[in-house]
Parts: sequence; C-alpha cells; structure tokens
Amino acid sequence: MGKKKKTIALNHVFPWLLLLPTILFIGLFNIYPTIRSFSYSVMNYQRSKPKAYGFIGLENYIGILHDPKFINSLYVSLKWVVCQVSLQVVLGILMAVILNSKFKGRGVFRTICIAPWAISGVLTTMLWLLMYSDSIGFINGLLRAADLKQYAMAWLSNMDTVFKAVILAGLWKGIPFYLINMLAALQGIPSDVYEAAKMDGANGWHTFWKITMPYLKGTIVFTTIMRCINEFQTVDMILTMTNGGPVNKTTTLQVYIYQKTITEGNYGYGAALAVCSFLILLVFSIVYLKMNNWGKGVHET
Amino acid sequence: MSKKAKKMLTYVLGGIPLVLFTMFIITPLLWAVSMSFKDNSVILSGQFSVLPHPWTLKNFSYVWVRNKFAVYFFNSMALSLSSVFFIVNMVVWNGYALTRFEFRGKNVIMIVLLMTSTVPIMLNLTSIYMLIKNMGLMDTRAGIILLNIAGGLAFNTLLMRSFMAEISKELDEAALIDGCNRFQVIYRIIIPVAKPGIVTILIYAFVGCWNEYLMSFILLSSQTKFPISVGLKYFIGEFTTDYASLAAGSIIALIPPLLLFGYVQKHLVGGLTVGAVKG
Repeated sequence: MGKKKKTIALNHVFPWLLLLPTILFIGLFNIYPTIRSFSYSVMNYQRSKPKAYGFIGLENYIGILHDPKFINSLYVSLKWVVCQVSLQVVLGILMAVILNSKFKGRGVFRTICIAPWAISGVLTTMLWLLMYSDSIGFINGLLRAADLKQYAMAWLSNMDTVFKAVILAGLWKGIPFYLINMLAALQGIPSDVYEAAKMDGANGWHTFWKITMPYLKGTIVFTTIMRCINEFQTVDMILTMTNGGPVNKTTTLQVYIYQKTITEGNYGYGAALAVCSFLILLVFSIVYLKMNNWGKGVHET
Repeated sequence: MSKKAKKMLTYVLGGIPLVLFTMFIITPLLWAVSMSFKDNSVILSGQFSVLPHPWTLKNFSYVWVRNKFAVYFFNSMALSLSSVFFIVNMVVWNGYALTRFEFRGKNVIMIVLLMTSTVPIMLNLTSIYMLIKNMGLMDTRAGIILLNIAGGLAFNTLLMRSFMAEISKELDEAALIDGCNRFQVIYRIIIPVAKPGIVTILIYAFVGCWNEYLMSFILLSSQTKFPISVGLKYFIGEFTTDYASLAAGSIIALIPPLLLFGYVQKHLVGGLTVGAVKG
C-alpha cells in the first residue's frame, strides 16, 4: 500500500523533474525576453543617450505610425512574402508531383532538389554572390561568353534588379522547404485511390485535380501559412546579401528592426517595431485560419 | 494519340521542369566548387570558364590556415556539438515525460512549446542582447551555447514526442518490473529503440546550430571565437577581391551540413515531421 502511494506521488513529480531543465531554459531565454521586449517597447532606451532612459508610454508606437521608413519596409516585406510564397506554392507543388512519379534516377534528383534545406542563409548569400558578382559572377560570365554583354550588370547594386535577384536566391532556399512538405504529403496518399482512378479511365490532369489536390489541401494550407510566417521573418540572407540596400530597396521590416536595434542602438524603438511585426503575424495567422475554415464550409456544402 | 506518344508527352512535360529546376539548384553549388579550385589570378583576369583550368588546391590551404578557417571550423564544431549534446538529452527526457505520464499541466506545456517555436527571433533581439549582457556572457561561447540550446528545444521536443509515442509502453513497464529505475529505462531501453528518431533529431539540431548566424554575429566580438557562419560574413567585407578563397571557405562550411543532410534526407520526406519542417 505504502509503496503504491509512493509510486503515485513519484509519477506526479517525476515528469516535472524531467521537464524542469527545459522549462528553465524556455522561461529564461524565450518567455522572459518576450515579456521584456514588450516592456522595452514603451521605454526611451537608446545606446547613445543612456541618461534619457525611462518610461515614455506609447511614444515609440506613435513614432512608428509617422515613420515613412516603417511604411516602406512593410511594403517591401509584403512584396517579399507575396513573391516568395506564391512562387513556392506553384513550383513546390509542381516539383513534388514530378518527383513523386516513378522514373529512373529519381533518388538523385530528389536529393539535389531538396539539398538547400541544409544550407544556411549566410551560405546561400555566399553562393549567390558568386553567381551575381559583376566582374566574376556566373551570370555575367555566361552573358559575356554568349556575346550578350549589354545585358550583363551589377545585379545586386542595380535598383531595378536587386529585389528580383534576392527573390531568386530566396526561392533557391525556399522552394525545397515547400517541396519537402508536399512530397511527404503525397507519399501519404494511398496508392489504391490512384489505381481505382486509372481503372475508371481518368487521365493525369483529372487525377491531379480530383484526387491529388483534395488530398493535399490540408498540407497546402498549413505549409503556405508556415512559409508566409517564415518568409516574413527572413533576415540572415537579406542582411548579408544586400544589408537592405540599395536605397532601402530590400529593407524588409526585419532588416529595418535589425538596423534600428543593432546598428543604431535604439533599443526601445527597435523593440516597438518588433512588437508590431509580431502583432501583424498574429493577426495574419488568425485571419488566415478563420478564412480557411469559412472556405471549407462553402466547399463542403 | 497512341499510347507511346502519350507516354513521350508525359516524359517531356515532366522532364523539362525537372531538368530546369535541378539546374537552378545545382548551378550555384557547382559554380562555387569550380571557383574554389581556380587560381584567383585567372578569375580576376575576367576569363569565363566553367571548369577550373588550371586547377589548384591552394585556396583551401590558404583559407584554412591564413584566414583562420581552421579556427572557425573548430569553433562551429565545438558550439554545435556541445549544444546538440544538451538538446538531445533534454529532448529525450521531455519526450519520455510527455508520452509516459499523465499529469496536470501537460497541455499547458505543449501549448507553450508550440508557441515558443513560432515566436520570431527578431522580437527577442533586444532583450536577449540585454539578458546576455547582464549575465556577463557577452563574447563567450557559453552564451551562444545557451541560446542554441534554448532555440533547439521546443521544435525537437515536439518531434521527439511523436517518435516516442510510437514506442510500446509495455517495453518500459516490463523493465520497471525487472527493477530498473526510470533513468535506466530511458537510457537502456528507450534510447536504443528510438535510435532512428534520435539520430534524426540530432541532425536537425546540429544543422540548426551549425547554421546559426544572427546571435553569434551580434554577441561575439573576438575573432578567435567566431563560428564559420560569422567568419564567412566578415570574409565578404575584408577580401572582396579574393573570390577563390571565398568560394573555398563556403565549400568548407557546406560540407558538414550537406553530409548530414544526405544521411537524414529519407526521413525528411518520410513524413516523420511534426506537420512541417521548420524553415
């Protein structure tokens, strides 16, 4: 009897004991900093003016509303997310369907196509700098060799091309993420469904829209929302590739937060910007999920 | 349309995007490899050549020794391996706690884990900077390791939980009856059985730590402590004309994560993930 009681008590304490280190870590390095960020956002806290430190209410937020650079960065972020995610959805699904069909050498192609998964933002920058470089880059070299010299340019310092150039490099890393999730979902579709469709004489196009897509719908919704959130937060690659330039053409909201916080040392304002960015994501996620539920209701009736 | 023509059409329709996309992915990698074997004077002469001719290994020895890539590489290894050691142990404990016990507050833990894995790092930029400063951990490897651990726990715990839920509870109950204590159960019974899942998590965590850049860049100021990601970043600024070395440095940094990727890639697509692979 006594032993049983002891076991029950232990069963209540032991899981907490196992979780304790994680709780401490997450409490100290995730939850506490988040709370602090909210509190910094209502402070005048600047590296250059330590004496001015103090509570200033919503002044940082009011400043943000009147900050043209904030509006611009938000616009760049929006453009970034829309371009990245829409192309990732289309190309990710296309490539997943192709890589899910049976052909010789599929394993090799698959491995290559998802390899950027392992490559960091900084390394992506390195690889694409070597592609885009004005003097020694692959693209200009190819253009010059093909006698199309007039099209060769400094892709990353040209105002008209820089955004597209960074988007392309971002897709190089982004599509594989979408692709991996789609491939995983495709493999979950039972093969007898396809066999039945084939027996009924459905062609590839029909099968794709009537079987594959409905099966993928849930994964597409979830992956798309995750990609939007992740792309909105992209910072390593843009920061190292262009540092937001030229003339703020690639200054996304995250890059702007970085510049304000780390480069300028305006911690309070930077924190307020970060809170805004967080709230935008939160609202986006809620609206998207609600809309999707609503959409489901319409389709299923 | 004859059956054969139809088949040909499918091959072409699928084959063209496949080849184009594969070229898109592989070209930057191959170009960097090619550059890393070229002589920098040949590169700067402006002569465009796909293959390195004449080829040389001196870029690698140059960056490894002269540009301290040996130091960066060692730092990255040390930071990543020590972080991963803690992450994997803690994640195993968490997985065990979350799958083997019913207790009050379990759902709260799960929600907190889900939320922390989605909170953007930029939100905490200022406060983590200040926290590390107040803890006296500026410019220390310990600071980076602590942050690496904190960053890897939430996602990998959720992953571990789904792996461990698959393992039969009878297995560890039998061991308990045989007189093992809980820790013996975890380390002698669960870990060997969960090995494939643990290896996957180990690789996820390692790649995550190896690729970490932002916090190391902000918090570390001594060059002797830089991981390879930060070393590369400084490289761009300092040696803008030494493209061959830049390429060689990038290739060195690429090797560990790509090798591990090769090992884990089947799991990546196998659907063993918690809904989505973190990006």
